[in-house]
Amino acid sequence: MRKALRITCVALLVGVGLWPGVGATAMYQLGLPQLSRGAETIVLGTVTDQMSAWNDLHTAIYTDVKVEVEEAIKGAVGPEVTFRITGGEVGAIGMRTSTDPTFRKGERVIVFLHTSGSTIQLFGQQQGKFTVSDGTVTQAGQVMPVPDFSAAIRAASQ
Amino acid sequence: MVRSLWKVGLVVWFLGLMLTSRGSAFVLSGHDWSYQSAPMGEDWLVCSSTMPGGPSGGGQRTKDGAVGWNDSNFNFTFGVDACLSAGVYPLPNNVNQVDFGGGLGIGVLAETTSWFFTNNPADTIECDMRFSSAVPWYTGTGTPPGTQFDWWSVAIHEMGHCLGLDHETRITNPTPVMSPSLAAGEVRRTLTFDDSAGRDAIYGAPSSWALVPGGGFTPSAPAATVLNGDLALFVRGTDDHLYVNWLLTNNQWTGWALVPGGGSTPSTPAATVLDSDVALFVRGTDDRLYANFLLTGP
Repeated sequence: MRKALRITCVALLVGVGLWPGVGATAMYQLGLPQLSRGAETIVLGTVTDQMSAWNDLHTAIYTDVKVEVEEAIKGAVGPEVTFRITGGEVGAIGMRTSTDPTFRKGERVIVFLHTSGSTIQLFGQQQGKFTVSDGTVTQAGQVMPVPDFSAAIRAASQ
Repeated sequence: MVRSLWKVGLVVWFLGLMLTSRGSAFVLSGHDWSYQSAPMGEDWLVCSSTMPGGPSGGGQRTKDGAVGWNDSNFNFTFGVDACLSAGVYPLPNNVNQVDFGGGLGIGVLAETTSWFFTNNPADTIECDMRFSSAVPWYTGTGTPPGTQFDWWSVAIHEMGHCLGLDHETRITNPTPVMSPSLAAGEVRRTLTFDDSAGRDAIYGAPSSWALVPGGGFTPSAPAATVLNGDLALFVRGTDDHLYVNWLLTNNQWTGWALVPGGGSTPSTPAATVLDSDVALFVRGTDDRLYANFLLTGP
């Protein structure tokens, strides 16, 4: 019965193409199918480290976020993956954008990654991060168990 | 006995909920300009020559979006349109530059960058903003077609970020300008109660008192809550009956009306919203607590 409910839930999410609006600033909403198909790699893991630096032109600060991979939901990755977000703090200066999420060490997340470029980045910026709390994914007030969310991603990726 | 305890527990829970409930759900970014004596009084520069529609198109709609936040505590001020960042975004150069260009992520219509000193992160020292050249824009003042994004609506949203507000995803009726997503053809050019409350939380409420429309007198303090964006104001009348006056999302008051259910109270009522219902609590003339769930709005 519970399995049937899960399947129905996943089918509804994928079929209708709807997912809670999350966010990049003044954005158009990327549904789960768009996120799942657009990201080459999707992982469940825990943030283990972050390091911020200026870019080469000294016009912006970026932060490299290292995640210990618990499960590769899509794509093949090693035991760790590091991706880059814009914003961070270096010395006396801090920078924050309205489109990039922030992470904290120890945070458990599902991240949608664009891995085909020279630098791994979040796909969809804020829309590509889902925080895991007590085994559930919570975004825009919607709560779903991680296994159901992973199944929805896999179904949407196909 | 068990049933009585259950009732007491329910009342305590409701009272606790009232104490912790917030009338608004705005989210603060943690960086703002409230440390300045004249917030937003520093010139903003719009690189309008490269924007769709030029100075009278994207340039003017950017300023229209900023003006939407103005109140008695601050006004956005703009210098002569100029491009002092040479197309580089973001750029920490002591210029609050608004421009138009690429490099933003998938799904992003515009982005705002706030700069601050790490020893005082609450104080924004510069704000840069870019509108994406990767999406089709509507820069007029009418209704955009369903294939274009409304520049004015995005501008007021981005200016909210510069003020110190973050995305608000929990309120949808009415949808605040600080909601993160905007559909093509959608217009959201005016602040909602939640947006204004967020701004006022940072910079203070406009300092003026006005009589609540509807007249009348009360011997007690009022109670207020918000249901679906409408503000409900409850008072005890001089006849000890309870009255409600709704401030609608169009800023119109409905006038005073008796709260359904009758009865009298010698005290101030308490109100909150629970699961889209207004919960009103009063002390009865027999000194017991009474609850009234108003299932509908105004």
